[in-house]
Amino acid sequence: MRVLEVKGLRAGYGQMEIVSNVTFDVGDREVVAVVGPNGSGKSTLLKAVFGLCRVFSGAVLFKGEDVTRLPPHKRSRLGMAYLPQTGNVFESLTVRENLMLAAHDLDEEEVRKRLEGVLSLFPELGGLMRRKVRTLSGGERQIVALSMSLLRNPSLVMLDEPTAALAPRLVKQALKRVVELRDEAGVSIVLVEQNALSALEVSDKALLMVSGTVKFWGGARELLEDRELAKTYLGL
Amino acid sequence: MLDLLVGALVYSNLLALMAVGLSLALITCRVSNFAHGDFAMVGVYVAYTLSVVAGLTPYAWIPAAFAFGGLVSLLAYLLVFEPLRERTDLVTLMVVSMALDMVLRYSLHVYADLMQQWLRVYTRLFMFDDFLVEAAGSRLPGVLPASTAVVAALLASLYVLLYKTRVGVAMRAAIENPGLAEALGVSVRRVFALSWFLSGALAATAGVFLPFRIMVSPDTGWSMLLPTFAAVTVGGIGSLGGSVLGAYLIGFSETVLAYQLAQVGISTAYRPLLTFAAIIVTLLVYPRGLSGLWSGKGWSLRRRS
Repeated sequence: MRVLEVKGLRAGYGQMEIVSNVTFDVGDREVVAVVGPNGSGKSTLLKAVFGLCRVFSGAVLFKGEDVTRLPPHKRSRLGMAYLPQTGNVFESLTVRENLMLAAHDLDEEEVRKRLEGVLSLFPELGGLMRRKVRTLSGGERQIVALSMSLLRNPSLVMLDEPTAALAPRLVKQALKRVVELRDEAGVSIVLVEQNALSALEVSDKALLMVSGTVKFWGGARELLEDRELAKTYLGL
Repeated sequence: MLDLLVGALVYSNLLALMAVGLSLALITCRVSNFAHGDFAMVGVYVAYTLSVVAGLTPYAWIPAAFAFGGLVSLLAYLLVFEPLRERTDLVTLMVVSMALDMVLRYSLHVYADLMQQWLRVYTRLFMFDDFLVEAAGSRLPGVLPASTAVVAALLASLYVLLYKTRVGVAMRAAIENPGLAEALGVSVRRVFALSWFLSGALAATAGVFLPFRIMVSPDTGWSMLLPTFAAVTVGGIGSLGGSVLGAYLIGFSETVLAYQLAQVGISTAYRPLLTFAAIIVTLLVYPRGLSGLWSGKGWSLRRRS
């Protein structure tokens, strides 16, 4: 069974359609990169899949269940996680409070177990627990945000430009971490990235979006090898 | 002088509860809730009705006023503000709250008429009888220790709720970034509903203390709005700690000003001059208010802009 199936999705804000007739799917433990020029609707697509913007038509199926009309908090409880590009942590809360919030509906024993799991993935978190998030660096914040998503034991994590706040030299390292995440936590990942080359190198499949529509859907390597598409839309 | 201090402290206690309640509404739905004073009057009439019917002091009915005021505020949120929260602008929300004020105020007038017919008591311009306590050779009105103890207990409980419980962490998170909180499985609607319940409950509790100091009627809540807004503005819009501090600053300043006006033979009816001036000066000179001085530390809840 596919973890995520998006069928003919049309979505946007108010009356404005940003994403038109998008169809793609994500398999178990697959990494799917969503790439494309600025303003092509990549972030809106993720928001629509998670229920954070208006869906005009089409369907979103999560593990075979139609979640198109479910509110985000219910999708989250089913095992979908979404990490926005900005504002993905609570700055006024401590790291511990951020993590506890992500696990707010679990019992203490379960929280402890999952926290151990997250700390083994990101050991650097251990020393940051009492710090207010607003005092952390961009990279540390991304780790907190990712840990919050993983605490919920999701089957699917959707990351909106996780490398946006990082120094260029850290981008490859961060994306390598995303793949490790897939392998160690056993999750499927949808990755919206501006660094198309780096993202495609670590992904199984690719969705190229241009002006809200799908220009390419297939293997990530195939897109990298399609010189025309890669040059025209990704500047590679 | 002692009476002046007592009056200032009781008034400030009351304003502190009102201001924290108003701040909760402001930081959740960003609504300047003009119906907030009516929640206080709901508390007054709940305590008055129950004390007339059951014969106990109105102090005994503070828990009932707390619960009923909270319930009215919760209904206002669920029926009016929650459906509008994401799809209208701040000005519309403010106008809606003014309309809600009218609905609640005239409902209270209708209730006051019915209560007068039913229980044969004055339901406008009435006061509660207070008890006196002996302290340091002086006789103090009971409302001073009662209101101080209730304010201290409620604010301490609110602090514990917000900073020491999971629900509190969820509330602070949903206030700062509702979208992210929702993405993490927090029902923002439920968390905001709790905030609104507390908002009305605190105002209704404040209301119970009002008739121990002044004569009240269903319109009194409206006159409490201005100093409450002033306390919130001076304290720093959106900051609970600032609202408490602002309440004591406004409460004491207003009381002292009224006393000074009376001393020189000028009507104390001009005391709102100070509160209006405090709002204007704060917004012009230091819009972040007192809480701007410790922004990011302590009891400060703010929503991402």
